[in-house]
Amino acid sequence: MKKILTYLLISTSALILFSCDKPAPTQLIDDTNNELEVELLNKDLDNPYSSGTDTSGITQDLTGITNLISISGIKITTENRTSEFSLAQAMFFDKSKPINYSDGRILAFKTLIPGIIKFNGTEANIVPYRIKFRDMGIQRDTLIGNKYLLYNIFGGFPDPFYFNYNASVSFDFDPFSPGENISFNIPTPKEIVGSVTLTGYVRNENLDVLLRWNPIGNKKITIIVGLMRPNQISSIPVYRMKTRDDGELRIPGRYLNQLPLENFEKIVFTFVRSYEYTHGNGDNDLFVSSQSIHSIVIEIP
Amino acid sequence: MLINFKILPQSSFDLNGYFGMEDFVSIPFYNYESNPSNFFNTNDWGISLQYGAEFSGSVSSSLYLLAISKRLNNHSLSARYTPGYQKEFLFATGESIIINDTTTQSLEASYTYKELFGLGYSYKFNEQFNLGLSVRFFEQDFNQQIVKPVFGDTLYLVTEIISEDINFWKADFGIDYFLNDKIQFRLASINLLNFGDDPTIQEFQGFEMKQERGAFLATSYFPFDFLNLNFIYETTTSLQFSATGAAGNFVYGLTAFHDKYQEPYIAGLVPAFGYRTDLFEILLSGVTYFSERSTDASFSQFYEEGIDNIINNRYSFDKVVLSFAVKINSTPEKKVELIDVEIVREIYPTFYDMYLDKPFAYGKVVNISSRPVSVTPSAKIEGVTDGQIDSPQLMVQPGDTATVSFFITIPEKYNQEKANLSYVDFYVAVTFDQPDDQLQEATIINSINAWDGNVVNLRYFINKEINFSMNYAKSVLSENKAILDSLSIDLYEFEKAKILFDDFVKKMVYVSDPRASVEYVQFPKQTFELKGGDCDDLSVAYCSILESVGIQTALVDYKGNGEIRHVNVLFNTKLSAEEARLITNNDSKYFLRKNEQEIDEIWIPVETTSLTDFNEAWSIGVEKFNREAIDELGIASGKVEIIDVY
Repeated sequence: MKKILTYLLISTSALILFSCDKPAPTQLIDDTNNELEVELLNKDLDNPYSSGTDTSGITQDLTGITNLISISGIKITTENRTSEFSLAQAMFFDKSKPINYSDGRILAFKTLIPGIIKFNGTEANIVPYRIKFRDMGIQRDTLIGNKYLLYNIFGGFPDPFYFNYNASVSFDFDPFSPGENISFNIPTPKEIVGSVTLTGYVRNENLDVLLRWNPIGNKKITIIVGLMRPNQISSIPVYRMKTRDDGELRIPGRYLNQLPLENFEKIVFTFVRSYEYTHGNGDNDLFVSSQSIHSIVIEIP
Repeated sequence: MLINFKILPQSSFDLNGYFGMEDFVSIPFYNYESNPSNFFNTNDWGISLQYGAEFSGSVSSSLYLLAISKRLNNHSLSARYTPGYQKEFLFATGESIIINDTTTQSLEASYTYKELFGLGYSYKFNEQFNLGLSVRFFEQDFNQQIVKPVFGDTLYLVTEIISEDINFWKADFGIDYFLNDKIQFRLASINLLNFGDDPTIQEFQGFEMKQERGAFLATSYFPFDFLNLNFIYETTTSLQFSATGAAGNFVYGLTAFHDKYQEPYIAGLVPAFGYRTDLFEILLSGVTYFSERSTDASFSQFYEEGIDNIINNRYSFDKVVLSFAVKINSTPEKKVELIDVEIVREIYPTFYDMYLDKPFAYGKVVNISSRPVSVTPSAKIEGVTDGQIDSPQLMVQPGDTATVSFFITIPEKYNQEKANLSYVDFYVAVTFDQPDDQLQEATIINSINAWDGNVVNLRYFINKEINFSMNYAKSVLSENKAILDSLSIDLYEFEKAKILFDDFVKKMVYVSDPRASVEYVQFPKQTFELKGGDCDDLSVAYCSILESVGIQTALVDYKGNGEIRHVNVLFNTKLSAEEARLITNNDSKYFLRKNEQEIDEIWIPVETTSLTDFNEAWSIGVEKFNREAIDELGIASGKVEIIDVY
């Protein structure tokens, strides 16, 4: 019996020692449409625009884009009052003239005015194109050239450009230099109409945000979370979040509760549904972006 | 939104399949899943383990279970450690963070469910009922990467891991009911009592095991040793059925199971094949699923359905399991049972060695082991015997019932003058260490003067106080030394008997036995003290006196013919037939008996109740002997019997 016990103890101990395998895990594949991609847009909330931004306030990396055509239908809801705008702009970059940070990194490129551009038959205005950025701890504001711009604040003023949702906007380009005109239609997305349910309190660090919008079920939408200081009308973009266009997103509370919200008065949730594609090929590629934007401004509780 | 997430901790699935409570599975590997009452058949200690491999494309081996059990009479205790009872799920949460404008880091989560420990207790009320309680400890390890903004001089995003261990105990009761040898039932609770933590981190809420209550019902039908049928139904609508059996030392089983969360309807099979001895059992089993298994699975389905069993769910893989159990008995395992005892003889303490030749009781013994065994019966009478008295061994074949005889010897020092009630403990043992089984019976122990009426047994009274008789006889003979010295050596025996009788009768009167349900016989010393007795008392005393000085005696049992029996004495004069004239010329006054050398010797009958003198007693004895033994053919017919004292 002692022999058997000894053998049993030895073999059991050996089994325990050499049986450290865990049963094979199961990899769960996400089929819930709960994807959420988060990007921090501003590291310095006291001195925003620390990287290149366009005039809409939506940070974009301009270094990888040859030419940009952007049309937007914009709504801004503040305290149950919604204002609508239309915006069309185009920028052509001269890749041979980069604008660098002090450390040599490329910020953007100088722009060109290569011809006449019309949106829905309305000739776009040529206006200066400034970008703001922070370099070596100093806020800079530089003119990188001109760009094409049409905007309609109310009733066709100042420009008679109307962004029609779920339709198309015609684009025409008549070059100054010899060459063929370029014309095509830019499809516009279905209008996005968002709503925000913000519960909890900053002091309790229990803010909870449920965003809802009219879904179209495929592709993704972008949600920009921005903050507004008291008595200011422009917001500081903080997060860009991409999620499926399925109509609902609960933003994990930690994204808001860890922010210094006590220094801000309002929070802005901007829903962006866009079509983006490249038209053409080679050096004359046009990056086309067509966006329906709905910004909702609410008081921070 | 996703709701109705459910994970039920451990239903009745067993890696060995379902074997019920067959006798041939003495160690059920301590799986509380299939043995909710957790009663087991080991006699003492049991150690078991389950080691196996899971085939998920790669092979991973695990020690599924290590268990120890201890049985204390009708109590069973067990404890198990189940390191292999775990299942891990990995999940890319869908949340990601963009780092340095271009790099995307996806955030991951893991959900691990473990059953780590189990404790069991059960009580066997009788051969029909077991009631058991099992307590099991579960651990849930949840981990998830999250993104968290940190605000200092600047705002930046960091990833960190949040973790939470959510532990709980669950307790369930089970009961076994054995209707008869062929039909048994089991009833057990599922998740009856649960004690544990609730998740505090929002991300993990909804992933913890839900503990819905339910019931486990099982029935087994054992028509033959080689084929037993079992059926289990759980109120969660899962079920199992199995066919099991044994052939010699080999056991086998095949279990099919239905799980509401798995497809097809019969989700898989558990074949098992094993070998067992009295010392150990080894069982090779496997789990094979009919549906295709993958290491990838839908999160939505996992979230909606959960799993109802850590080791058997839609995410489990085929397995091979080797189970090994060993019985370690500090006390021998019971191999035989004593099912009945009958005391066939009354206990007369004076007949001290009579029960060495003739069993005083018989018992029926069943060999419940799988091998032939040598059974040693023994008995002990409270207040009478010195410990257990072993009887001869008997070989009993497996499964056979045999009759064993119980013998005892009674110490000569026993001196209880009154009858009393006592208890006899009967034992049967296969080893010398400890009896396998025992029974107790009450019996009457007669007084030391009790006699069963069988004249043969008067010799016990004759011999009981032989020293007293010898002292008396030597004293009397020394007083008559002159007479004896004057005689021929041939008449020595005759004359000694005559002198002793004449002295003996001078002190005696005839007194009947006291009224009693059993006959009463005095020892010689008592007869002298009481100065008398009846025929058997006087015959016993006279025989004892003669035997103490070497005179061969016999008792003559006149059995009568519906009359009162009578006893008197014959003694051997050692005279030959030719020497008869030395004591009498009347041929009818003596009786010839052959000695061991086949030589006739003269025996003289003496009527011990004739209390005048030797010659008178001789004459009366001869007259009675000749009439009843010779003339009336008493010896030939058996009505008169001569019984040698030695």
